[in-house]
This record gives sequence, structure tokens and C-alpha cells, in this order.
Amino acid sequence: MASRNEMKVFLAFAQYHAFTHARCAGLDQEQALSLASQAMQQFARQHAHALPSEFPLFFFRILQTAIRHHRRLTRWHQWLPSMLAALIPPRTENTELGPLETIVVVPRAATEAMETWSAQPEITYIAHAALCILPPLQREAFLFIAWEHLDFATAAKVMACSKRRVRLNVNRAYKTLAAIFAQKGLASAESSTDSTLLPIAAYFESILSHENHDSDAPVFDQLAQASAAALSEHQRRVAIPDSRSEQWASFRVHHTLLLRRIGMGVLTLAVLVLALYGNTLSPTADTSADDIQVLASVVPLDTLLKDNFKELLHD
Amino acid sequence: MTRAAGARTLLTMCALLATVGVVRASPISPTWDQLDAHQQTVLWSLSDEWNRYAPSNKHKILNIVQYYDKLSPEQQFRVQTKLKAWAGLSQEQRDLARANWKKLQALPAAKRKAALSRLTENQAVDTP
Repeated sequence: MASRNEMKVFLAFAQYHAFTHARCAGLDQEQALSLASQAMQQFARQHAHALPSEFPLFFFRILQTAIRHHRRLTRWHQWLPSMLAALIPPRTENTELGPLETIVVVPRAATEAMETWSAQPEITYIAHAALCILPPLQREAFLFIAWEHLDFATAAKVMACSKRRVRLNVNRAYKTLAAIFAQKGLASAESSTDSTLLPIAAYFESILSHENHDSDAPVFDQLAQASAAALSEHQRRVAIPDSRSEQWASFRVHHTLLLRRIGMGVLTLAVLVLALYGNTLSPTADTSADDIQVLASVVPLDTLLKDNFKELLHD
Repeated sequence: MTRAAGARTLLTMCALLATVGVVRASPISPTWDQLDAHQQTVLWSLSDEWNRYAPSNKHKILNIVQYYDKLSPEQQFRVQTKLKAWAGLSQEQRDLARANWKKLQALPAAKRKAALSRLTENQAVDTP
């Protein structure tokens, strides 16, 4: 079980990371703040008895679920307007270039330090914009591996998918980011074909560090308040013995794929059984095979309906 | 399981469910006009009263149709003559008829033959 200090240190780390993850997922500042606060609260409530080594796994899983839930809701709320918009053809085509196309960046001089160079607002903007245009799975995989330094197994548990899928998404994200960076002159064109693409990770390492975000300063106060609230929640929960729901939450995170496969297997089996033996399982069994024999027999119906039929058989 | 694999499994199950649905789906209470030509031919003796039957009764009678073609012409004739009376029986009466018929079938061959001739003789005496 983690001490108060361990939890405090982790929450101090987690608060900004949660906020940045949410911002990269396309949430506005207020939404990202709310989501990060809720994630910290939920983490403190659900995993109060977790080991410090498991903190990143549980916390990022909660954050990940919350972001996905938010994305699903947003997609649903945007569905109807977008359907209506699709019915009405646009009058004029939008030919304006987006900021990603128009921003020009001065390449880094050989003598310039990475930290000072990457602190330029243009570069920060491009890095964030490039992250935002990535497909959600690629962005998540990239952030967990390149920024959070989670191993593939942990990232797979956080993202509730296989390690192979995480690796695939990370590679794709690297390639897309490298292509964007090469186009903007931030990286050499050769790096886009390099499979390791370490420079990209280095850019983000430096760019995503919160010292570069002075404009977000008021947010940190609110995040710190949320973190303090989560810490007090943790202290309250620690006093209560480890509950079954907490054990179940932990088990679910560790064995998501197994549980999902079992669920899908049971469901598929149920569908197959229903398809193959549906008639037999129905409350009124199908007696039509017997009925046709009764009707086709030479014995008249009246005789078959007699109560003393058994006696008639043995006369 | 990856998202793509999950989606594939879901799609397969939807397809399975749809197939099951299509196979098992039939109108709740088909009217005489909704029956196909083959069903109407087999059930012609019920054409006047068909629309008055309860849905469950209709389905039980329709289930019989699938076995009709496998019968010999004599058996088909007997089915045709008994069908109307059969359709008017209650569930209990049908169960009784079925049970009695099974008792007859359970007899040894020689005894069954004797019982059959006795039962059909009774019919010949009963019918003028």
C-alpha cells in the first residue's frame, strides 16, 4: 500500500500529464481540467490500496477510459449535425490553409540547445497540432510509449489492447509525425524513414514539459487543488479495508483482454446454440413430426381420442 | 483483443443473429393470402376458417406442411380428410391423440397389426 507521500508525488506528476493527454485528445481547457480532476478523484477512490509501481497503470487506464467516453459522447453529439450538413452541399469550397500549413519554423542551428529551440511557440504549436491530427489510437500509443515511458505490456493494459497493436500504432504515429516534422523542416527527411525515429520522441519530451506552457499557469492552480482533493480522498479510503470492488477493479485492469475474450466467446456460443437448437429450447416443443404421423395413420381421430384407448388395444 | 478483431467478432455475431432472425422470422399470424402456393394446396380444406385460428394454432398446422410431401398419396389423402377435425381440437385433445398413437406404436409388430385391424374394423362398423 502506498504512503501519503508516495501518492502526493504521483498526483503531482499525474495532474499535468492527465491535463496534457486530454488537451491532445481535442478537449478544451475547461473540459481537460474537469476530466483530469475526475480521473484523479476516481483513481484515489478506486485504487487506494494499490502498490506505487502500479499507479501509472491504474491512473492512465482511468484517464484513457474517461477520454474515450468523452470522445464517444462528442461523436454522438456531432453525429446529427454532421448528417444534416452532409445532406446540404456546401456552396463554396474552403480553400483556406490551416495553421499547420502556414506556420514557418526556423531550423535549429547546430549550436542551439534543444530546450531553447523547442520553446518557440511555433514549434510547440506544430507539435500539438501534429499530435491532434493523429488518429486517437496512434496518439494514445505514442504518448504512453514516447512520453510516459510505459513499457509495451503496461501500455497494452492501459489501452485495453494487445502489445502488437500498441507497437503498430506507435510505429505509425512515429512515421506520421516524422513526415510532418520533415515537411516543416524540424527534422531531416531521412528521419521519416528511420524506424527508431528517436528525434521525434526527444522533441516531444522537451515540448510537452510544462515549463513551456506559461499560458496554462492558472490551470496549474486548479489542477493542484484537484490533486489535493484526490489526496484527501485517498487518505479517507486508505483507512477503510481493501474492498471487493477495489480488488475487482484491479483484476479488470490486469485481465481486460482475457475477460473480453471470455465474454465474446460466451456470447458467440450463446448465439450459435440459439441458432442451432432454438427450436428445441423453445417452451413449446415442436410436435409436428408426430402430428403428421397421427394424421397419416389409418386409425381414425375419434378412436385416438377415446379415453379407453388402451383397453381397445388389448381387446 | 484488438479493436479491429472485436469489431470483426461483433460483425460476425450480428450476421449470425440476422441469419437466425431471417430463418426463424415469420409473420405472427399469417392470413390465408400470406401463405405460399404449396401451403395453400396442402391446407385447402382449412381455407374457410384459416383466418379465425389462433396464431399458435396456425404455426402448429404450418409446421405439419413440411412433412406432407414425404408421405405416400394414401397417407396424404388421410391427412387431408383429418386436417379440419385436427385443427379444431384443443391442445389437450391433441396430446391425448398423440399419446394414444404412441401407445399403439409401442406394441410389438404382431400385436400392433391385430390392434390396427380391430381399430379400423370399429371404424367400418361406426361409419354407415
